[in-house]
Amino acid sequence: MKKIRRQNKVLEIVLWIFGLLLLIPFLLVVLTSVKDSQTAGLFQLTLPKVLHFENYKVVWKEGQILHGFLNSTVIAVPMCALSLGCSALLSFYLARVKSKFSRFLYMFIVMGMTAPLSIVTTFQLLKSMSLLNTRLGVILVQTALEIPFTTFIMVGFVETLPRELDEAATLDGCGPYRMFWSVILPLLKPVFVTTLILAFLDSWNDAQVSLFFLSDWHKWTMPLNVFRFYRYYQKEWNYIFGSVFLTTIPVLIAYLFGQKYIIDGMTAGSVKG
Amino acid sequence: MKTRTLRSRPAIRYPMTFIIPAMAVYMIFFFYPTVSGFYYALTNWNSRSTTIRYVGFSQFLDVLKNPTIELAFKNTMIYSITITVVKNILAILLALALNAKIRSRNTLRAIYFAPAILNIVAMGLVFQGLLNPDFGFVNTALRAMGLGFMANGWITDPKMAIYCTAIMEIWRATGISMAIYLAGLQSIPQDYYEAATLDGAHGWSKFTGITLPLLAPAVTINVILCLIYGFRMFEVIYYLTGGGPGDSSQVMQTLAYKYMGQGLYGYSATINVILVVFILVVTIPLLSYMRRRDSRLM
Repeated sequence: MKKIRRQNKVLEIVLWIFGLLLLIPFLLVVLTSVKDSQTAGLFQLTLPKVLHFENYKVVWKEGQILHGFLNSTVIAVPMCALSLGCSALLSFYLARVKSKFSRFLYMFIVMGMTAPLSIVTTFQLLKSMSLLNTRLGVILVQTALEIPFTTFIMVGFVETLPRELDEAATLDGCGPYRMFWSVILPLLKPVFVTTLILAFLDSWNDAQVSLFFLSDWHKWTMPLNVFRFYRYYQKEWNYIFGSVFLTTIPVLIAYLFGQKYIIDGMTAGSVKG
Repeated sequence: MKTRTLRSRPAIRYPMTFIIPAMAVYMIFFFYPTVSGFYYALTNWNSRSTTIRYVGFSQFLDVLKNPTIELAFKNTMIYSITITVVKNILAILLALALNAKIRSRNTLRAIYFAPAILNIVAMGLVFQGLLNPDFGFVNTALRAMGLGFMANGWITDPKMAIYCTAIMEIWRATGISMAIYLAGLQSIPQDYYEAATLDGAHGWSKFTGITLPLLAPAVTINVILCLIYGFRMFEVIYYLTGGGPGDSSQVMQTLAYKYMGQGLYGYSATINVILVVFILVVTIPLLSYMRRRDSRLM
């Protein structure tokens, strides 16, 4: 027993060393962001003699940080609501109805996790619906890409809810919609937390759908704003890393509070049972 | 209370309306564009001509003969296979280590998972700083440690660029695979190990006799997910190397985007269709395996 405990101590130290190595890029970003432009381009893990906090004034203003934050929010919030709402309804049907059609539908949806986004045809579709370069278009495409994964996780969860609940609700005179709304939905809370966080991260960090279908940079989200800022400031790495840092703060905060749910969620979704 | 109503099961209705919202969004914004790609791949659709003309399979032949696309396909394979192998080996080792009785294991798990939450644009910029050939952190550190011979052009070297994108993905997403393996490990009942100990089994034979076989489903899932994400990856490549230098690190999705920008819509659709078919051919056998496993659990 004692030997194992000592082994674990050594293992812990090794894991901490590798863990801290993994965090070097974060440290490099923070340190570089308060240097002057000359030393910033050397990418060294040193504390500068003078801390140039005024860099952040430039970054905040030119990097459109607040604007990007608001743009990201008005895309991510509706996207999460839509993905979770649609998937919850669908998952309830798929988990309860055991017909050939239902099983086919499940496979059909889950297959959506495999296919890549078809760039040019989606572009054409959005254009023909006058949704190109609109936030609504981005929200709908992101939702369509999110539904398979969210549904996959939710079906697994709904199947663990006893069917007797539905019977009891029906006996009490609930129609299918009341049953879903007041009996099933409240019980979905744990799986909602997980899928909400994952959908939020997918939408918030997305730099693909919005790059393809949102050409007006006034509507650009935080990740794309960093990209624009980088192309504008090419070699001023102190500014570039400053904007990288400010952009990651919202997710870092979310991660500090929600990391238990994120990791649990990843695991719950992937391996059932 | 009337017992009669309890005995006879009430007819519960699950109307089709439940599936309508999700199916509408999924069919219109995902399924339709994917399938219509198969039609456009057979046309000369481009930004210059006003009419779309059916050209049959000649475009597929063009695509197959195009050396850039061949390179992009090769890069897609290099990228996906590299990340799948390396991420899974590292993730199993990490999961085993972080499943041991270690005091600070929750903090450590959070640290190893942390890179997965960052957006890829920011990460691409950070890795440009790390892998810059002149002043990059990695080359500077190698030289300082007397390993200057290992310093090289990284993202500016046409032969290395695609491997750099793989390194970034490994740094970013190994934590996700680790989380899946941790769940797999936690679902193995402790009594198996206790029984094995009573039978005189030791560490290694417990690992090969219990852990590894029972971890097999998690391996399958992880490998499928890594391969699929690898095949269709756009962001990591676009935001780290932009497909460059030249076209040396283009993958299928970045090339489809590039050709769309040049107005070669039919061409772009063809690349996408090839990728869809390729992914389906690889993953359908694997997915049907997953489904069989699911139905056994139900």
